[in-house]
Amino acid sequence: MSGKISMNNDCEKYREQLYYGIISEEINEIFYSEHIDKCAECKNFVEKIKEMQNNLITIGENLQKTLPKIDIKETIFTEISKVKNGEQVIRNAIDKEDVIPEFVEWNLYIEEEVNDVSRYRCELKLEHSLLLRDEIEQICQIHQSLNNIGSTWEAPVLDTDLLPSILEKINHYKEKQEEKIKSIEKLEEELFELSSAITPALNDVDISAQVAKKIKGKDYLTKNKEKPKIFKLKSNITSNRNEKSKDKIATKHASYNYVIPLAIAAVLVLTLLGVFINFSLNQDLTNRQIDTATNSNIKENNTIRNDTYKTTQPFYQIDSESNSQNKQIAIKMDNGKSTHRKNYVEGALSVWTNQLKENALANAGKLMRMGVWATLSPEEARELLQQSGLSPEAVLGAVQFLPPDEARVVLQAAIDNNPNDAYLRYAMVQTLMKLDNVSNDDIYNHLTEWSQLDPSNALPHFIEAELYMKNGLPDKAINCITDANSATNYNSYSTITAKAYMEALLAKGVDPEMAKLLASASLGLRESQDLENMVQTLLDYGKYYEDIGDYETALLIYEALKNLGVKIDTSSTLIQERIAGLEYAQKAVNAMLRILSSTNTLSDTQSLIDFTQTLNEMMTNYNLALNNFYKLFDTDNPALILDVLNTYLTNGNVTIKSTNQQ
Amino acid sequence: MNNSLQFMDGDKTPRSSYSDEALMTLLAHGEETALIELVQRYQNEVFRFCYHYLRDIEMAKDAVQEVFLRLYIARDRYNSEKRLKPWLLCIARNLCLNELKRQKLIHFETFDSYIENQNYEQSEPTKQGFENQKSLTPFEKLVIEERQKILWDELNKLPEDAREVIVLRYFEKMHARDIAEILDTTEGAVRTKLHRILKYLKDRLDERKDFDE
Repeated sequence: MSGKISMNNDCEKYREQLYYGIISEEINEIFYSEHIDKCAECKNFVEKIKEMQNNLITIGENLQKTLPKIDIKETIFTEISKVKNGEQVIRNAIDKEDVIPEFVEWNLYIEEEVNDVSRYRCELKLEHSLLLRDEIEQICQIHQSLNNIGSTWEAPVLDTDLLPSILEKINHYKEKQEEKIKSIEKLEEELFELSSAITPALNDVDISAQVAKKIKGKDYLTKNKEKPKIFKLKSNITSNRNEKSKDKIATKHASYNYVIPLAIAAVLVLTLLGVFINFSLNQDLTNRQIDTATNSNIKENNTIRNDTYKTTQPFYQIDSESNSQNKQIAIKMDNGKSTHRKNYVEGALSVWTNQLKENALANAGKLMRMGVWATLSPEEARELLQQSGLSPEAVLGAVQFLPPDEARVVLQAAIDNNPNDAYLRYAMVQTLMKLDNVSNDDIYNHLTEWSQLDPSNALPHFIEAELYMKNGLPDKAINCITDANSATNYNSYSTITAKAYMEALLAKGVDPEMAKLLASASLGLRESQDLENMVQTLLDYGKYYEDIGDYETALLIYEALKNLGVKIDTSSTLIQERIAGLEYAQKAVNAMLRILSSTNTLSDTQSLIDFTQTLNEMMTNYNLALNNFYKLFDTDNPALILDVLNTYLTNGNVTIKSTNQQ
Repeated sequence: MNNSLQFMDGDKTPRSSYSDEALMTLLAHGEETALIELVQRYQNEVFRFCYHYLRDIEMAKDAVQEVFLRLYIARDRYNSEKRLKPWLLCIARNLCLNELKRQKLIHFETFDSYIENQNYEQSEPTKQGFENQKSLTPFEKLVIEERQKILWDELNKLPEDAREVIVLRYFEKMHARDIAEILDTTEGAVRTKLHRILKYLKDRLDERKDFDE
């Protein structure tokens, strides 16, 4: 059969064979097959394929010649070693970790303490890795060997009962402790005797001649050479010095007097030492105990009238100072301890205070820091009130020193004439709360009137809440706390009270500058004390609710106290009151955090923690501001001091800045 | 737990039935008979524990007395929510370490004294590695002794803190949780340390290659 065969199905069949032939290089056989020989197209196709193949081979050979040789073996080995090193670095880092979860799991597996899930996981790993399996098996062997070694170890046996020697040691220790306590008490007694000996001697020191001599030699006048003012106290409030010294009261620039500071320093050191011993021996002796005992003393001695600048206390205020004569009176405490120690401390403090008062403006800084009380005896207060033409402020000032039942009468008369005076209502509430035979309704009525006259003030609501708590009406107390939360500020009328004191002192005849200074030094003290008592009472009730599991009520109380602290911070004009407010807010926040952590509601704690941080920053700033404020009084210029006092008594000290800061 | 309240009315239940924490609560309230019970309960254990550190019987006895004196002094500071035994042994440990420091000695310097006090008659049958010596042939006993010698040798080369953990785990048979409390660390850290030690011993023994021969 000859002739050309045109493209048909056979071509496909032979093309397939062709392709296979070309790949396997058996092209010659196929080439000469019958179809290829006869089919021009297929023959053409084969020739073209062969040509293409040759071309590609040629291209490859050319490329091989022209392209540079690349040896990547070194690179690969380097990279592999890096990976290995990296692994080692990671391994070293892991090995430094104290806890490696994988190791913990393997140890649990070896000790047969592992749970089912972990056991399954470990056995799976062992199944997949022969190396690991061998390793763990060997470790198990070593573990077993060590276990057996430990089991076969014979521990030494305790052949004697050590109990008698132990008890003997404990008794010996107890005896030593007793001896230590006795020696400290003996030392304390000796110190008290020493201070008793020093104190009267200080009173007899007359340094006026030396002071006058110093003054003559120095020029500490102002630039315009004004004569220094001589501050002479009126006769009925002079100190307990002898008559000679009354005429030679030191002038203002006592800083040049070295004898008084030295004497004061000696008393101060003894005071601090005694206080330290007191604290270390009896840490339960709180300020309240001392104050309570002192208050009882004051009640016994409030009729003493002498030339001492008397610290008789207003009827509703606990006084932290006492007359030096009180040291003669034994104070019986519940535990019968520390009587003479307290007397010694209080006596020394009182002498020091009196020394400072003698040179009031010169020691303005010290007096301000101490917060010295300006007081009147009840008789003096009654005498004042009988005077005609007494200013309303002076009346208010005198009333504070009357016994509560008398004060109530005077205040009621004032309220009848001035029913819309919020301060009078406040004073009446304070008076009534200290009386025993008063119906609660009276107090509630005045509180209601007060809160209506001063609706934005949170204080009356808190006082009412405290009263309801004490009277066993918690629901009403909670309502008051809710009302307190909606009040926007806090006002304890401390500047009004201080000004009233000042007016009363002036009416009594106290030197104006002295009156101003003493009123300023006591500004805010009794209000702070009252506030602290009230906050503590509410915190105690909050704790009570916490302990019985009523967290909702407890949180409500704490939240209200926190808000109170914020209100005090934003509305009080006194830095020290603001600091106190922040401290109360902090206590409330701590209590809230305690509840939230115990009830596992930790999601709410972050805002409180942030708030705490803010509080801390603010307290630091306020403490700095208070320090700066007190430093304003450490100056030789009385005019500056009086200027500051005027502003302080009117506007508080939050906005006062030193000349450097202005 | 706090079992203190039920004992405050002076009942006459024998002290031996009280828990450790209840006894400590009683002691803190001035009930010194509780201390007697605690001493009787723990003096042996504390002695043994102190002996590990001090390696001297008389010193260990002195240490035991001092430990209970410190327990008495610190009775008010004990937190009844924590177990007493680890707390007590922690006091003992600190005391022993201070004493060693004072005498400039190193604790767990070697395991030689442990080797001397081995009693193979007490051994128990195990899966592998260590069988009851009574049932072994002399050759097998020799092999095991050689293996143990090598193991002791490697144990002596461990760092001090690792030896301490080995002693507490394998000689005192303490649980990792208790060891953690005594050493003031976590249970995870103790287990990690134990596994590291065993791994290290395994690697060291592999290097020597004569362990399995």
